Amino acid sequence: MRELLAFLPYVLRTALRARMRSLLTLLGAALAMTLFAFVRTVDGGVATLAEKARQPVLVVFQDSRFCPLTSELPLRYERDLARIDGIAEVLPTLVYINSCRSNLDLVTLHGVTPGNLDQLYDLETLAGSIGAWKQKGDAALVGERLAARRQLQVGQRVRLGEVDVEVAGIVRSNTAGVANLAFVHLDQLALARERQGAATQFLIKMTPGADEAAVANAIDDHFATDEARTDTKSMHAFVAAAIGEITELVEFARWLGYLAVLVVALVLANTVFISAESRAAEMGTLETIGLGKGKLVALVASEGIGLGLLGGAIGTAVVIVLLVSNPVTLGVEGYGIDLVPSWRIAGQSLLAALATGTLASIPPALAVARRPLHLGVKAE
Amino acid sequence: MSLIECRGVTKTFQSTAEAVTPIRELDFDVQQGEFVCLMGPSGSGKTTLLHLLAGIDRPSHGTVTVAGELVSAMSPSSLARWRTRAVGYVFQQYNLIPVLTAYENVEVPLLLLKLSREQRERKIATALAAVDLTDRMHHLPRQLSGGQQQRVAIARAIGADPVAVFADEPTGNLDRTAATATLTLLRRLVDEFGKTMVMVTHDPQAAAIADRVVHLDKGQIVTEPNHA
Repeated sequence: MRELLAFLPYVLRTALRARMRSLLTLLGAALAMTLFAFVRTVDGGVATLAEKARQPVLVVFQDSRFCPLTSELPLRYERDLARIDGIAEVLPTLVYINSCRSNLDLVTLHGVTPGNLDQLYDLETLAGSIGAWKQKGDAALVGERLAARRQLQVGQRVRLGEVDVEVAGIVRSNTAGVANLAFVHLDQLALARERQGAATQFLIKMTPGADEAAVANAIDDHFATDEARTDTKSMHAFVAAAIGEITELVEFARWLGYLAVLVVALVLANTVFISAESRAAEMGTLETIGLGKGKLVALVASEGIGLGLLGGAIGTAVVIVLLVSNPVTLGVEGYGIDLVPSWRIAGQSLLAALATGTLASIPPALAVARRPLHLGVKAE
Repeated sequence: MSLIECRGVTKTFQSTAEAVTPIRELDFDVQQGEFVCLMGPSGSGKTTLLHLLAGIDRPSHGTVTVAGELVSAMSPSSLARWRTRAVGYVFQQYNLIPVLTAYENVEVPLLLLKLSREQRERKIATALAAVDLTDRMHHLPRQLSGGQQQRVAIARAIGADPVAVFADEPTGNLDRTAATATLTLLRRLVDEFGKTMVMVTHDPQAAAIADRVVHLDKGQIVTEPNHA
């Protein structure tokens, strides 16, 4: 190891010797690893959203409706729901979203009755207070990501989704979607959207020990012949259905990410092979003066490993810098997939770059080192 | 006892079409401090013999012993370590690492030895002084003339204070003046520094500087005229 470290200046200068080739390889590796890190970040966002949806809460939605803009349940269902066995709390919610399609500027308003909001959501107040929101009919509690994206502050009056509100508090929650929505009063939103007497969905908190599937079936059975049939799911299943298409896209993108890594591997292998082949006489010289085959392989491979790792670091840094300076939330059916770079993803990307660089560099290095020394010495 | 001893050495290269045997049943000795020149027509086996003596290749049959060490029986990794401490090799094309300065080129083999930085610096300074290139130590090979490059290569070959120096056509790429200077330097290494030298050449004028010329033909020694 000590001997190989002593050869570091040689490796660096060798990489710099064919500057254009090294630069192009580096750019290729950086670009591919940017894609890889970005895909991993999206993947992480989907996983985080799904994880946050694992709440002991049921969502009652209108049957055969897939977008909050089209689901309409009578508000009176709240009384019936409260009487069904196993249900502890009911929160009628009128949802407004600016688009049901995937978009990067998601605005979601949840019009709720103030009474039992904190029974259904575990809210942590980052600024302002929930009490202030409850007391003021045109106040809003804003999720932390939405507040950051729109640079909102407590006390500020703002127009969100064609509703004028005053920011009463900024909140954080472990529940899916809360980071990217604003809670407003149900009455205000119903008036603004002309949907008085209607709710988009009901959130149900069950009594301890209640069977989730049994309660969901009881609800759907109860409203089977009513004005609007219901489709009740666990929050996890509801969110999974809402982001189903995007999840499939992410799975496809994941393969693109792997493909990008494979491209990096091929580019690096090609670079290492060409670089070592063009220095056949040099390899022969190094071997003649006593560099063993193993060290020769390490020396040749280190160029590709270094380029791969540097490219990976650049690509990962690009993703981190872009997403930190411009927070992105991919909105779909009212749920936001937050693209938040993390040390874990950065570590995974660097590890992928290191593994790719190593796996790509060793075969050509072995091929070069396998050449008999007496031929290497004669190489021109 | 000779410094270098070859006994019954045969080297066969097996290509897909046929087997080629450039060295056949060869016995050969070099004494400590001797300057031996290998001559012969192309394909006579002189470079192959040089490779066998320097541990670059191993004989198919027979033994090569250098300074009491049975080189022909060493494993590839032992052979690599042995080359670092016991062999200095000078190539026809100089084979300097183009991205390294003269100083760094001389330093390369020393990096493979367990030496302190101070020991390394001392050895480099001594080697570069021996070839009279102290003032060019920070130049890259492309900034040096052919003769100067070959002197750097010779400094690299003697830097680790090897048992023997092997030179393969060291003047083949040089003009007459530079060639003469290089040969004088090689001679001086033998006379003043006590090195043992084995050199391959086509040039009779170059061979004239050796203590002994060994003629090879078809892998065997044909005559050994004494030039001493």
